[in-house]
Parts: sequence; structure tokens; C-alpha cells
Amino acid sequence: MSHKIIVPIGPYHPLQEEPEFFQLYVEGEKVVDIDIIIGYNHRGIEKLSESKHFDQVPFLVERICGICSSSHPYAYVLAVENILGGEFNIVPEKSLFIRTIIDELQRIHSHLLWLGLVGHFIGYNTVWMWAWKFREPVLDMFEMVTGNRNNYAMFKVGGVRRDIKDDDIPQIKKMLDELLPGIDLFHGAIMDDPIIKMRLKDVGRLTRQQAIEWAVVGPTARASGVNIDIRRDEPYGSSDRLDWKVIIEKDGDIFCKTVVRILELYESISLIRQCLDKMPKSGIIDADIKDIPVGEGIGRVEAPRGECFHYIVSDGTNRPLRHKIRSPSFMNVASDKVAAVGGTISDATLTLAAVDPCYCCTERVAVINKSDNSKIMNGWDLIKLSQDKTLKLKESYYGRSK
Amino acid sequence: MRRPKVRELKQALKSLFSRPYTNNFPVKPHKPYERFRGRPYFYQDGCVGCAACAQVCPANAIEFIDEIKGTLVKRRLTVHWDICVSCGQCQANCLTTKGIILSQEFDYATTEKRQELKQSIEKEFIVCECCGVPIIPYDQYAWVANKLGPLTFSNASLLLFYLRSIGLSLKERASPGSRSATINRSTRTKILCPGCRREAVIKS
Repeated sequence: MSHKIIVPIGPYHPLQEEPEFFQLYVEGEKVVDIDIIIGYNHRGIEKLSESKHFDQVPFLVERICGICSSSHPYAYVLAVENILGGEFNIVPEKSLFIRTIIDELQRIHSHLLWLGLVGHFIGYNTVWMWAWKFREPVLDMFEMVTGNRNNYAMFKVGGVRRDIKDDDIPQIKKMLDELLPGIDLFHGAIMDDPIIKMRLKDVGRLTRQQAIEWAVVGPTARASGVNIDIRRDEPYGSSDRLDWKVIIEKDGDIFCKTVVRILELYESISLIRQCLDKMPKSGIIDADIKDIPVGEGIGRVEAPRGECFHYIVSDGTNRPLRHKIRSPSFMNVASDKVAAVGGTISDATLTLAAVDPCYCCTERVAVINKSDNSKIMNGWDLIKLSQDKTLKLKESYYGRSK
Repeated sequence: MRRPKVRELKQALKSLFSRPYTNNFPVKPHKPYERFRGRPYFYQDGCVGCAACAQVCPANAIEFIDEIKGTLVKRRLTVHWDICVSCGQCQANCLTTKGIILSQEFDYATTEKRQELKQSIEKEFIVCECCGVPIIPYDQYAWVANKLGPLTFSNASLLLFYLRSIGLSLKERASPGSRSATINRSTRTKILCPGCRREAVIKS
């Protein structure tokens, strides 16, 4: 083979979450190919789901991912409600608003988490600290409204389990008001800072054509100019009667992905505010569904990372006969095959992280270059490389003496 | 070029002169929000032993065992905190709403083995006075009788149980496995399992 082989060695531990393994093939600094290996963490969620009754499954699927833990139960209840005749026909008015509020609060906390991680990867650890600090009040709101910071246990076939009380509404609004200056700070910092611009522009570019060919979803696709958003294309919750817009950027590089996510934070805040204003003050929150008829249904939800898809077959008993799940990262991670190739090793970690897989996915990158002193690198070395590159850019921009 | 630096400097100064954002946790205990879902506890007074919580638990953290202890039959309900996910389904589906309640405890750490992280309560059973088969926990029967009110008169066993509980009838207690000789007309004035009730009605 013409290119130098890089053999990855990595410990696969079953306890580590979401193990994905990336093999980078490099020539010198340049990445010429990448292999993505997934499937180390098969937990049998779909099979487990078939052994639980319809009311228990939301608690199971919400534990698929600790960050989008409202998207999966939401997609599941949408799938079951599809069998029953559609969400809008059976779910009470107030529940639709509560569902959207929870979904959008989750988007805020997930995007802030991603922002912090990218800050860390490019060596801006302050961004990391601040983004996660601004994320904390959002999690507090979750604890206040749903009873837990991460596993909300809110979604139920035919409604929601807990009500948002009138006393909660001013507190949520206050939290959003306090969050806004923080997001403004990030927005300004990312847009104005020349170093971040130099570091992120034209890195890990995914063109519109590539994005369509590799069928990426969510912010990754929207950053490449693909105009898709499940909230608009197939409305669920109360998203169709609120005023908002889909954020689209053209270039498809990491800078665009960052901008899309930051602007989506503003949209989410606006959505939650509108929901809180328009939500009926009283009313039932649960349609009290007992039996699920025979049939099959699909549920699609715009998770923070993209389209989350659930498929349910019911045979009239109280358990699903078949439950199929496709999470957004599964589509997005594959696009690294085109996005990361052609860049340098120091950009590779950033490109892999830009589609927002789990943090531990990128931590697992390992590189051994046999031809070049058998250099072994793990995820942390790669992050270090990435941070060093930012430092170099900084020095060249401001001059060596800081 | 100047502006961004000023903005970040402002934030930096603000952070420099404010208190640390983190909590001084072990020194200052954390108080969760009012509706926080924490560790569930059984309450002997509120629980009637119906085991609805065990049926709805998505993590199978609640188990119940019916066992014979001498002359008594007891149902032991156990909540295993090591596999509990604090979803609150048990509390939401509790018959009396006071049998199992989620506390505000978030700290599950222990120096014991994880199997020790559990709480059990026991509920005594009513035994069929004819064939000695356990029927239903005492408390659950009492709860049903109270709930039904005058409708209790439509069910002989329930009525007898109610009369006994208010002291209007002899308080005799059957032991498990004890089988009375025959089913005759007088058997109808006993607390019976559905099978024996049917037989008694037909034979008399």
C-alpha cells in the first residue's frame, strides 16, 4: 500500500459508554483515510423494550443517552401515538406545550455542553468552564420541574407525567433571562475572535452534496445548507403554532456548525418563552390511554444532534412486538469519513467532535504510526495536538511575545 | 479587535470578584428541590401490600415474596435501592398513595454491600378458612371494604371480614394449609377463597 499504515490499539472496556473507535490513516500530518468502528456497546435496548409494557418503555429508552434523554422517550411516545391516531388527536392541549418546553430545555443544555467541549478541544478551556457554568441553571430547572437533572421521566403515552405549575413559570423565565447574556457572550466571542475563526474556518468541511450523500441529520446537515428540521417538516408538540425559524449555514465547516448551534440556542429560548406564555393555565395533562391497538407507528423527533427515529409494532398485547431505534449520531458519525479526510491530525479530533457524538467517542481515538518512530497517540494526545495548533495560531497572530 | 477583549475582560473581572460558582458541598449540605425524586421508602401504615408498585416498576427494583411463617402467611415487599432508577412510578401508582413515597435523599453511597441497599416490609395475609389458601393481605381487604362502603354487602367474604374488623363477629383465624373436612351450608359464613366460595354456593 502506498500510504503509511497506522494501526490502532485501544482498550475496549465494556463499562465505558458509547465506545466508538476511529482508526486514522495518515501520511505525515495529513489524514488520508479513516475507519470508524462502532458496536462495542450493544446493550440490547430494543430487545429489552420488547419485554416491558408500553408504560415502562419510556424509562428504558430515556437511558439510551444521558444527554438527549427527552428525545428518545418523545420519539417513542410519538410512535405509539401514531398507532393510536396521532399526537394532536389524543394528547391534551397543555401536554403539548409541556413536551415542547422539556424538549427545548434539553436542546439548550446539550448545545451548551457541546460548545464547552469544542472550546476544550481547541484549547479555550475558559469557554469550557463558562459554557458548563451556564448549563448548570438549565439542569437546575430540570430538577425543579421534572424531579431529576438528567432522566426526566416526563413522557407518557397520551400526555406527560408531571405538570408545570404556575409557580414554576416565573422561575423558568428568570433562568432564561439570566442565560441570555451568557449566550450573547459566546456569540460575540465566537464571531469576533480572530483565532477561533482561523482555527475553525475551513476545517472538517462537509459540502451540501456530501451532506446529502452521507445522509447527515440535524445541526450537522443544517450547517452544510441542507434545509431539514423535523420540528418544521413534521410538526410535533406545539412547534407548529410557535414563531421560530430554522437556522441554516452554507459552508459546512466547524465554524458553521458552531454558529448553527449558538443561533439555535436563541431559537430554543424564544420557543420556551412562547410556550410558557401560550400554555393553558389549567387543564388535564394526561389522556389516560389504557390499551394500544394492533398496528405499527413511527415517531420522529428533532434531537439536539438530529433526527431521532423510533418504530413500534404492536400486536394488541401490552408489550411492543418490535421496537426499532435509530439515533442521530449513527448517521452523523459516518460523515467523518469525508469530513476528516484531507485535514491534519490536529484537526481530526475537532472534526470528529464537531458532529457531537458522545465525549467518550473522541476520547477513544488511538494512533500508532509504525513508520514514524512507532508513535502512539491516544485521545488526550490528539486533544493536546489540537490545542497546540490553536496556541501556534495565537502566537503567529499576536506575535511571539505575548 | 479591541471590542472582544473588553467584553471578555469584563466577564473575567466579574468572575474574579464573585464568589466561587461551585458549592461547598460536604460542609454545606445540598437541599434538593421540593419535587426531587429520590430514594423510595415503604411505609408500614400506608402500605396495604397490593404489590402494584412491583408490577409497574420499570427496573424491577421492587419484588414481593409470599411465604408461610408458622401459622401465618406473610407477603414481604422489598425495594432494592441499588437497581432503583427513582422514576416515581411506584408512588404514582400506589393504591393508597401513602404506601411508598419518594424521599429527597439523593445520596446512595454506602460502605455495605450493594445487596444491603434495600428496605423490606411485611404484610399479613388472610387465609381461606376452608382450604387454607392465602387470599389477600389483611390491609388490602380492609382498604377495599372501607372504599366500597355499603357495597360491601354484595360480597359475603368481604362482609364477614368487615364485621370481624369492627368486632361484630367471632375472630377466628385460619392457618395456612389447614383443610376443613367438608363443605356444607355453614361454610358460607366463613371467609373463603373464590374457589371454595363457588363450591360452597353450589353445594348448599
